[in-house]
Amino acid sequence: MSKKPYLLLLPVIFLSLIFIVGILYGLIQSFGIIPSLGMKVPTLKYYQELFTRPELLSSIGMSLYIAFVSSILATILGVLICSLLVLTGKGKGKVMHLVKIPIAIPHIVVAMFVMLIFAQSGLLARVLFNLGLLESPNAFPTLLYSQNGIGIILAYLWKEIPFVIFFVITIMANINTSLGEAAENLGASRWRAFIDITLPLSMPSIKNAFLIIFAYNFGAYELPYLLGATAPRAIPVQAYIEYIHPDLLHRPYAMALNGIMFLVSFIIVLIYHRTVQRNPN
Amino acid sequence: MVLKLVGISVAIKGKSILEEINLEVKEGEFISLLGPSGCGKSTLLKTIAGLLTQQSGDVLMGQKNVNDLPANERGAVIVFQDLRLFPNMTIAENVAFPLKLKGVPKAERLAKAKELLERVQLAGYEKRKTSEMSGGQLQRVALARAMAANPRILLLDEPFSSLDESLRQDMRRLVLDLHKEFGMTTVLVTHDQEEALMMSDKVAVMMEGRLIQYDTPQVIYDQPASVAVADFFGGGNYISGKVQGNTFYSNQVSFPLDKPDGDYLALFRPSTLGLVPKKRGYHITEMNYLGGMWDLKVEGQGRVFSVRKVGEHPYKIGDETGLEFDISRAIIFNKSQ
Repeated sequence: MSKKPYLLLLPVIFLSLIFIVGILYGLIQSFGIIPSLGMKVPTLKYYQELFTRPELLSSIGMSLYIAFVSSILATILGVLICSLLVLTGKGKGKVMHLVKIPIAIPHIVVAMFVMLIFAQSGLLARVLFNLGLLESPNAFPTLLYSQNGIGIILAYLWKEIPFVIFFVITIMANINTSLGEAAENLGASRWRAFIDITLPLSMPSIKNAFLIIFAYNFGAYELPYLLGATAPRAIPVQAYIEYIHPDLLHRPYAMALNGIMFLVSFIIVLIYHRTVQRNPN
Repeated sequence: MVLKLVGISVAIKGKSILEEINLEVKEGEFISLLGPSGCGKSTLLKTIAGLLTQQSGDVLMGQKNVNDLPANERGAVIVFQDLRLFPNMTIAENVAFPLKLKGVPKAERLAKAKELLERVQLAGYEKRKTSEMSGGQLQRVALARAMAANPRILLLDEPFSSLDESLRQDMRRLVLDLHKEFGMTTVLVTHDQEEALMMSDKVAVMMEGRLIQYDTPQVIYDQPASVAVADFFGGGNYISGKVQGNTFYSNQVSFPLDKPDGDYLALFRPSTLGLVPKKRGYHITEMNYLGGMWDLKVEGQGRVFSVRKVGEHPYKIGDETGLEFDISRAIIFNKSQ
């Protein structure tokens, strides 16, 4: 047999190796094994502490909260807009060019927009004040750097509603023009055909859009870092702080936090594969 | 239900697809829309069903103008070429779907679905998924689902084209039986001329967005309105000639013809030519077996003729022969028109 197939697999093997070695290396450190620092005995101590140290525990809570609320809202709003575009037959024109813009803009730029507009001294506060709707600019609610995470969520929504639309619209439009049309032909109103046929059949792709943005929002660093509160911090921010801690013995905390993020992402990948397998179309 | 189309024109994205289509289908009639791919026949079907809106013209059902009636209220149900069964439902739920829309209680509509599935010879398949059925079975499910909508007009969009020959015969039989049993008005879209001739009360031949001829199968075949229509039904041997003094003259054959003087084209289908063994002037150059009959190519006087011979024959390639024309079955086209 020729050796060519294996040769062609080399790039994939190489990429997978980097990924697997990186994860294993981090996981090993999270169990307290860093021989160069004289740490050689495996321990679950760091994980146990994560779940007992209140600020780390609240980090996990914060990350889950931000990821969950922003992904759910982005998915609902995205699907709503998507549905309107499909039902009015505008899913293929200039609107789609408009939708692609936010997807291409970096998160850090979005963070800046959000700061300029939603800060207490920001554009919105001043406009409302000048319109006489606020007694003073400071009466504007705290959206940024606060525990409610609204600034972060707003930034994610701006990025991810278009992503959900982009991800779902092609499939939804295709289903609606073939099976939705068939349902109409059999006596369903346009609306009923959409609710009974198109929406349920679009569900796998909607679920996957949700999982992708959830995994991203859970693990992403820049928005919580730029727009989040000082406490509690999101896991990636906390992990970074533990990582750059002057005391190198803190490193296993960073790795244990990474371990938790890895676990959550891994579960999401599993769910993703199950939805894809069950609906090969 | 009588279906009447008056001056229907349809354009999609600025491109004209249908031009000035006039068509009347009587109550309980079975007609075919026949034409090559891309001639607009499926577009016409969707326009009748209300899934496309015409730029001009009227769709009438039972004397009532239905231009403003949305698709879901027209009662003209399409069996789509790609079937469009709902993959998130069982077979029985698919068939029961139109009844669910009408608010029929669950037990009742599933019983009705069972009945319809039995009618299309699919008893016992109620709980299956669409992915667990063969193409021929799915075709019958689609038919049963359309019947469940109780259509006043049934529209079939190339429903047999994906089936193999024996299944196709069964399906044609089933469709004709259902058509009679339910007394619907039925429009079949097809590009298969044999299918159209075999199944329909009338055939509408469409080309490039226009309705060229609409008549009974016999008239369409024996008196095609144009060379293009004749060609669509297999064409044959065209002979150019002249009519002078009520006689058709050409190099190969001359015969009395009651037409005004001018240039004409006479079409002799392969079945209207015969070989005359004792005569000379032509010889056989090619023989193709068609199953139960032969197509013989006969060369002479500078051209080739196609002759159909039913059953076995004594000829072989190279044989000299004469040619006879059944002038009573000649199809005449006026060249100047």
